[in-house]
This record gives sequence, structure tokens and C-alpha cells, in this order.
Amino acid sequence: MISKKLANLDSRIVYAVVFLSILLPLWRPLGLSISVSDGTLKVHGLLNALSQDDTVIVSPSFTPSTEAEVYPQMEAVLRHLLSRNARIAFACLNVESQIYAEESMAALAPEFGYEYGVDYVILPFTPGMETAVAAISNNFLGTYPRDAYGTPLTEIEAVTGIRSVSDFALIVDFNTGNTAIYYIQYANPRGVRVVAGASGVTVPYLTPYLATGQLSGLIDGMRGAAEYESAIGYPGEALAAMDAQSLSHASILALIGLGNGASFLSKRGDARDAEQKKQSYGGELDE
Amino acid sequence: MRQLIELCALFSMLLIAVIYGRDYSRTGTMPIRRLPALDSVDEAVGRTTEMGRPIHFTTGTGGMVADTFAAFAVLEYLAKKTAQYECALIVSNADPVVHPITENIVRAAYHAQGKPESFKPSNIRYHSDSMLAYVSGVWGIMEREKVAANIMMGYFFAESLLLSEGGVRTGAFQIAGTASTPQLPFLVAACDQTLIGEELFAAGAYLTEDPVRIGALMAQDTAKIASIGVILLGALAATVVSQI
Amino acid sequence: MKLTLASLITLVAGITVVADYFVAAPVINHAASTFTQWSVMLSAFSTALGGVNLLAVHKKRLSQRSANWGLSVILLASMVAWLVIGLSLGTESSVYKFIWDNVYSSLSSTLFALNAFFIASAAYRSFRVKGIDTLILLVTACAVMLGRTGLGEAYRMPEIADWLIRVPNTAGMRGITIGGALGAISVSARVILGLERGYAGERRSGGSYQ
Repeated sequence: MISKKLANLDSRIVYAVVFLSILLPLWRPLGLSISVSDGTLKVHGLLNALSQDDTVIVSPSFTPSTEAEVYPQMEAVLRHLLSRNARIAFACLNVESQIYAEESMAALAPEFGYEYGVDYVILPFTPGMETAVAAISNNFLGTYPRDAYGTPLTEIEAVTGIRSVSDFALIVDFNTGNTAIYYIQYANPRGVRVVAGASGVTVPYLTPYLATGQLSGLIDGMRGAAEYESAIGYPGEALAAMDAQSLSHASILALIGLGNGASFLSKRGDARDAEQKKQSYGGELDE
Repeated sequence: MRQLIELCALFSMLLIAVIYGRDYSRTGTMPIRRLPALDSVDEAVGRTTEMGRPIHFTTGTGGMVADTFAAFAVLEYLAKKTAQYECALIVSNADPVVHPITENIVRAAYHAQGKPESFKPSNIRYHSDSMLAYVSGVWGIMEREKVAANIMMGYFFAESLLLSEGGVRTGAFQIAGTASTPQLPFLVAACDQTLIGEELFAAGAYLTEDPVRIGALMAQDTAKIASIGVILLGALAATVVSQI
Repeated sequence: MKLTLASLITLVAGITVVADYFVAAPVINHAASTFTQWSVMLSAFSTALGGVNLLAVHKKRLSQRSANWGLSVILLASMVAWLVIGLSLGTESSVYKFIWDNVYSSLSSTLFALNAFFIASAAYRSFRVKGIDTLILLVTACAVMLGRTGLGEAYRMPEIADWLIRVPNTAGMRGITIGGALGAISVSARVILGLERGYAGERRSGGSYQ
């Protein structure tokens, strides 16, 4: 029965449908527009209030696997921070964090006239995740006596006046795991606000902290990145990828609908067959 | 003031754990509700023994966190059962600190069952602390060794769906347990049985019936009821204040 | 003796770090800060330990010509090559960046992207309406998915999705998080107090370790 076959569709057909729905809009963009949500505007507002007297920790706590979703968020936020002349300290909690910090600033620093050591600093990789964040929050200078290239922090103008984590105006953590929670646990009680840019799957997990105010703002996945690009007026990779995200989501919804419809028809068919069999056996018994 | 309240709450939990633990030692009554996911661990062992294929266990990429310690209790039980029924147990690790611990646990279980010669250190495998390299390693095991059951207990990140779909492709019976809330939906969708949130922390008490673990579980539940009470009071107070 | 010493170290370090949260005594605060710094160093050491472990395991497979030993050759060669390149040329060199961008980053993204296909097949298999609870699950999942796209803009789907995540999801997440946190407190307390030593290979029976 065709409904049975559709209800148990080969996974490869599902994969092919999803693949095409992602590929086609990249080849031929649909140009779907997206609105900017209040959540993204809130983060935008927070960063807009910063000035050249403020130093911000930016923590690229993501890995290459989630780079496609979170890196555009970081790029858009960095662009905004640089336009506000805020000083930046990159806190590297992953092996990959330093590379992301270097890559992003190599692209943006010349555009905004930022100079390493004067306007921004990259702090060395500190392993341990939760223990690293705890160490940063408890004893910032003790955890980072030098930058990633061996220069003593006392000689770096970008962190002049910074004695502890409380001296930072904001922490912006780009994560796909728990690092935002660690910053909330250890750094936020010390009076520094925390904003997170998270992958879509982590957002529901972080939303309770947004409601309580422990998290001051949250950028939500690829869509959040696209919204932020719209908010700062600089369309980038995220906006370009939204069409692919939209169509792939629609195809998954269509497949779910197909599966449910096929399952329902298949069950109805089975019930009808069972009824017919029961009737025919009942006839034989009567005889 | 807040910290004083928290300290009192912590000591109260410890006291309740001691009281309930002693009560269980005396009465032997097990107050834990049925957890189908843990009951199906025995089913998984039975299935793998009948099919003559190995059972696979992993604790995820979370490292040495509370969930992993809770998973060690399940591994201890599983190792005891696989030693008893002489079916192969393969353990995959993504953390270099967790790796020798799982090896210790499995070795000790085999020794306790009087089958030290059946323990194979090569079945306890460290793949990599890089998530996707670890996933590739586990997929390789599932495909090559044709595992009949896949048990995933601990703290997971994005590898949860990759691992569980890998198990689906090989037809393995899958049981998962995690307190990692972002990954729970994937595990519930892809696995046959799932322990959700604090059910993982109940596993040790459920499987071993140890008074200390049961006492701790009762303390957890008491703290949860107290939290519910505080939340309700707080919600009521906030509502009343907002109306005034 | 070794296990008793390990339990003692766990007890002292654990109690000190917990006490640091509650007590504002300079001695305890300094000790806790030192223990935290040490744990960072231990994490770094464990990363190196993992690398050494991999080398040892795959070298053994290679020397014994175990099944798929050719894959071990590839692993060892690429591991050593990238280590040498990173140490000698530095992480800013063009060779390192080339391998990073074209091998590591690409492979990681590719494998992670499989999640998109796997969630589609998992959703196709398991999002079947069997009752009122699965119907609610399906409707909310559809609403949130549409809210994350440009397709749902005309029907206020982003606002609906935002409400679903902010209100019912937050309630559920809070419940699971609180429950999980209490479980973590329970396990952590047992580990610190030496009541949970299964990780050392000791088995609990009748309330004591054997």
C-alpha cells in the first residue's frame, strides 16, 4: 500500500529533499524579508550605549561545527562594538577561540582603524571551560598575566584600568554550549552584565536566564544574526543564508505532514482490512 | 542573608539524606517509582547476549561533571551484567580523564564477578576530545562491530543526535539519559528509552539499591518539593504586590 | 592507601571551594582561588594526556597490524604533522591556517551539518500524532520552526514562536534545570564527602564500599 510506503519512507529520500531545499535558495535566492525582534533590538540598544571608555569581553566560545550559525553573530556584534569605539578583550575558552578572534579582527580592524594592544587584546586560551570562567571571574589578572603573544597585560593599553572582571562594561559570549551559564554563574554576581549569542538549539535553554535578568540579552541563532545585520544596516552572510533556512524548515514541516498523513491513512487501511477479515471469519464460523 | 539561607538548605539536604538513608537500611522499602529506561538496561543486555553482538556505552563529551558521575553508576551495573552473561561491552570515551575511570569501573566489575580474564582493556576506547572526531569513532564502532544496543548516559552536546541516529541506522536498541536540556529533545526523538533530567541522577539508587544513594535521592526530592513551594509562594506574592 | 589519599584531597579541595562561596575569609578565598587555578592547569594537562593516549593506542594497533591499522597510520601521520607545523611555524602561519580552513574547519562543519539531515529523519519518524500530547508537540514545533523563517512573517509566526519559547518553554526548562541542579548537588556532595567512589572502581554494597 502506498500510504504504508510513505509512512516508512527511506531516510535517503528525506535527506535528498532537505539537501535540495538548502541548495536551491543558495543558488537562486528567494529574497524573503525578516523583521527585527525585540530581543535583538534589546542587545542592539545595550551595545549602542557603549563608548570608548568601555571595555568589553568578547568570548568566541564556539567550534568550527557551529561556526556557520554563530560566527555571523559575532561579526555583526564586533562591527557594532568597533563603530562605538569600545575596547575589546577576547577571552579564549576553546582551542579555536584565538583563531576566530584573529580572523574577525584581521577583517574588521583596518576598516575601523583599530590597533592591537591599543584598542583590543586577545587573551590566551584557558582550558577547563567552567573552571576557566570561574578563574577569570575570581582573579582576572591572576588568570591572565600576559596576552596570547606573551606581552604582560600591564603593558597593554586596551585593558588599562582593568583590575577585575567587574571593571568590564559587558561580557558578550558566543556559544553553543554552557559558557554563557558559567559567565552568569560566576561573572554576573560580580556586577558585570552578560549578553549571549547562541546557536538555535541552545536558545530555549538560555531563555529562563533572560527572563530573570541574569542574561541581559540574547541573539537567537542564524535568524538572530540576520536580524542583527539588519539592525546595524550591514547585510552579511546570515541574511543571505536565511532563505536556505526558511526553505529547509518548510521542507521538514512538509515531510512531517506527509508522514502523519501517510501514517493516518495506513492505520485506517489496516483497520479496514482487519474489519473485513473479522467479518469473513465471522461468516465462516456461522456456517 | 541569601548565602545563609542557601547554606541552611544545603545542610538540610544532607541531613535529610542521612535520615532517609538510615530509614531505608532499617526498613528496606524502596520508594522509587518505576523508571522504564533503567528497566530496559536488562532488556538490552539480554538482547545483546541472544544476538551475540556487543553492547556499546558512552558518557558523551561533557567531561567530569555530575551527570558523568551519575552515568558511572549505570556503567557499574551494566559491566556487572555483561560480565555475568559474558557479552561484550564496548565503552567509548571523549575525555582523557573519564577514560581511565571507565576502565577502572569495568575492570572492577569483571573482577567482582570472578571473570577477570573476560575483561578486555581494548574494549574501553578513547577516541578524541574533539566532538566530531569522537562521533566518527563511535560511528565506526557501531557499523563495524554491529552493536545490538547503544546506551548513552552523561552530559551531551551536539553529538547526541549524531550518535543516536548512527544507532538507528544500525538497528541498535537505544537508551539515553542526560540532564543536558538542549539535547533532551533529540534523544527523546531518536532513542527507544530516555532518562530525562534528574532521572539520570536517580539511576545509581535505582540500580544498586544502596542506602546512601537512596537517601540522597530522597533529599533531592524533598528539596524539589520545597522549591515548588517557594516558587508558588513567590508567584503569589509577586501577583499580590503587582495588584496593589 | 592511594584511594584514601585521593578521597582526602577531594574532600579538602571540595569543601574549600564550596566554603569560598559562603565565607568571606581571606585564607579560604585564597585557597579556593589557588585550587581553581590548579584545576585549569590540570585541564591543560589532561588535554595533553589525551593526545599521548591516542598516540599510544594507535601505535599499538599499527605495530600489531590490528584490523583497520591503515586508518591508524593516517591518524598518527596527520596528528604528528599538524603538531609539528603548529609548534614550528606557529598558528598564524599560512600553512597552519590552510589546514585549519580547508581540513579541520571544513570537516567539522560537514559532520555537524549532518545534524540537519538527521533531525529531518528523526522528526519524520517520531513526530506522529498519537494523542493530544503529541498533537500539542507537533503544533508547537511547527509554530517555532515557521517563526524562525521568513515564510511565517505574514502570519505573525515570529511573535508566536517567541511567546512559545519565552513562556511555556521557559517554564519547562526551569523545572528540568532545577531538578537537574538538585541532582547535581546530590552527586557532587557524595563525591566530595567520599560517599561516591564508583569512579575509583570500588563497588558499593549494603551502604559501604568493597
